[in-house]
Amino acid sequence: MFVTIEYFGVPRQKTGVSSDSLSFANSPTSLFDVLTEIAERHTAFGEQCLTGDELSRETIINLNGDQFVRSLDTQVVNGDHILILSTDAGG
Amino acid sequence: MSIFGYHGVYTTVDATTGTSSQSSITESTFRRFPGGSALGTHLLLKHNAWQHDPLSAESSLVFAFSPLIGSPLTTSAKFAVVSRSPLTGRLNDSLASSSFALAGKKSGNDAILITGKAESPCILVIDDQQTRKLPADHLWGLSAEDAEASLREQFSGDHHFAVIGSAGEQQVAYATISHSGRHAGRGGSGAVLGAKNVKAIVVAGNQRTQWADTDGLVKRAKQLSKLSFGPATEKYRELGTAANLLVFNRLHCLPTRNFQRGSFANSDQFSPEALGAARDKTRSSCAACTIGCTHLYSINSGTSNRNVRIEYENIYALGPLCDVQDPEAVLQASQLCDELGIDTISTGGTIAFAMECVERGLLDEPWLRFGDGAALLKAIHLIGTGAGLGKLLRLGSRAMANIIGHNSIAFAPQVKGLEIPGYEPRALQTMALGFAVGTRGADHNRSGAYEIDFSDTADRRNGTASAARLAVDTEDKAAIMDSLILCKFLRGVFIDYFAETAELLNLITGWGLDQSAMQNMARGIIDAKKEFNIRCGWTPVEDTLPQRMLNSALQDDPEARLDTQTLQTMITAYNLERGWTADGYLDEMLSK
Ligand code: SF4
Repeated sequence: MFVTIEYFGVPRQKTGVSSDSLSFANSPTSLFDVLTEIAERHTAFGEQCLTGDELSRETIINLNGDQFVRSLDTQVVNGDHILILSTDAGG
Repeated sequence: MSIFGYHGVYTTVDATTGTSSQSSITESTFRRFPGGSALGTHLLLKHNAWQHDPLSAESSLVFAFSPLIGSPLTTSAKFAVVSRSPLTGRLNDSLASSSFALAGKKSGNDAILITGKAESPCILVIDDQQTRKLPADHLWGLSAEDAEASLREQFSGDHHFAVIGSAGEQQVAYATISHSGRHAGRGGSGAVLGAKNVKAIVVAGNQRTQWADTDGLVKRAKQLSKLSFGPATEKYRELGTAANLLVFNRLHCLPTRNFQRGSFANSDQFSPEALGAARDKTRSSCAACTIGCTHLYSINSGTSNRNVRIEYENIYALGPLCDVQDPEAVLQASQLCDELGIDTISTGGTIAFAMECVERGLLDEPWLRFGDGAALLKAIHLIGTGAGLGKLLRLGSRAMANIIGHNSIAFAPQVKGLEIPGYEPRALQTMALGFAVGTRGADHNRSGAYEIDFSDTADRRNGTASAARLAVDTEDKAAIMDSLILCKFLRGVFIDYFAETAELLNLITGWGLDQSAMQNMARGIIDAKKEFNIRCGWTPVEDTLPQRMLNSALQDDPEARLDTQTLQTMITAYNLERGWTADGYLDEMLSK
């Protein structure tokens, strides 16, 4: 299955790209697996994205422009868009 | 006996006579209203400021300092300007940071209250000598920046200045007060000063306050400064708040074309990366700040060689909201607002409203079209001169709608008269609640409820009563931040917010406060603000949103729909959570 990752703000700066398209053998796949894959591709961002087995405080994730999620058990399916944002949406 | 962190006094300066008097403030008052917005509100209540037209001689305007000013705590060089607003008729508290805050506190005051009205343009000087009124005819008509430069030549390097531009002199309802390129921006405090014929407040002094635990304070300040270099503030340091634009656009919560849409065709051109690629960029900080979120960009056209400070809110209001897709026009518009001394959000909101009135045939100004950058600049010039349409535009969108009629109030982008910042309420419904109940009107600095919408604790497009408690919590945190005072961009470094802010205040004052004492303090501050508004004539019907947002879904996101009943349910839950009556009255007035 394919998942599109969209990066905004600091995550975009750290990864150096505005989006990635990632493929996974299993559908659904957990958000943890997706982020682990991202962390391997973009080490500078990866260091900040996960704190051990948890999403770091500085990372905000939205699924398909709808719901914000924090649980790394969130199931991601083929065609999903994962938006990764800077901490602190406002200002 | 002196109080740690405080001088224990405020000075009242009468602009009519130039005379001043000092009054004491007790420790028990500081424990409830520690500084900034809280202290300013308390003093306005004490002086019955709700009784007076904000542009009358009798009105009061308070510059309120704080216990943290002058300490080594990062981002603490801040002050609040508090008055009744000429734009809303309700409480207005605007905050800003600069050396003015440091010098104002060193003048030996915890607050300075200005009242009266000078016969001719003047400046008011509060320093180690006797408080005095000096003529300012030579400054009248100058931009705030030019007036400040002139004052710098007139006074010693220790003096600092809060200055109005020509818009404040002419009492534009959303005129700002400026100092060192920063602005106490919202709600028209510049007009209040202008109505008093006061061009500038000048402060200086050498009076310091003591701290209860200096060693502990220095140690904690070092830790906070270190954290301020970390990931919690990285967005502000690296990109500035302009980084919000692409995110908001993607989520359809970027108000566009006067809230007709939630996304904007040319948003990519406004990202910090695109703005920086096309022009020179510099970065700066407020006084005593280790974060440095201020990103300035050069303007490629025009005559000015000054870089312009760009924030999400000024791009939003002067770009997408007016559907202006040319970044150069938006940067120029932003710079022009700074030169005149007007709030960019209210400027953009009022012009976008006028553009829609033209589109609907309610205003006969065919040149003023959505998307036209030259028209945007012309409209801002007219606000500056007051000529033609400028006479209406300088009143703000609510007052304009009341004059234009034809139920145009339904799409005037304001709450309580204050134009709405760049958060689409239908797509961010906890924020919709925050806007509706805000004491100074629609405001993203007094309610951080958007943080709830940007989290997994709420469904951002389906507001519920249970979000009210979370909205109250963000408002309480902001009330503490605005009263200690610390910059909101530091908030991400705190893990246990109320406990940690209690610790900071304890290091300064020795009061031994805990988390629940801070929460109670926050509740008391919000109650006092509400009391001020009730005394001004607030009624529950003011706590709402423009009809447009309650009647129809967002054009480009049909799921973003908010109805009156849902909003009312959230408002009732909010009022009860605050311990008020269901319709938002205080059970008893505090100041009695
Ligand atoms: S973070 Fe930005 S707004 Fe806050 S004090 Fe620092 S420079 Fe000023």
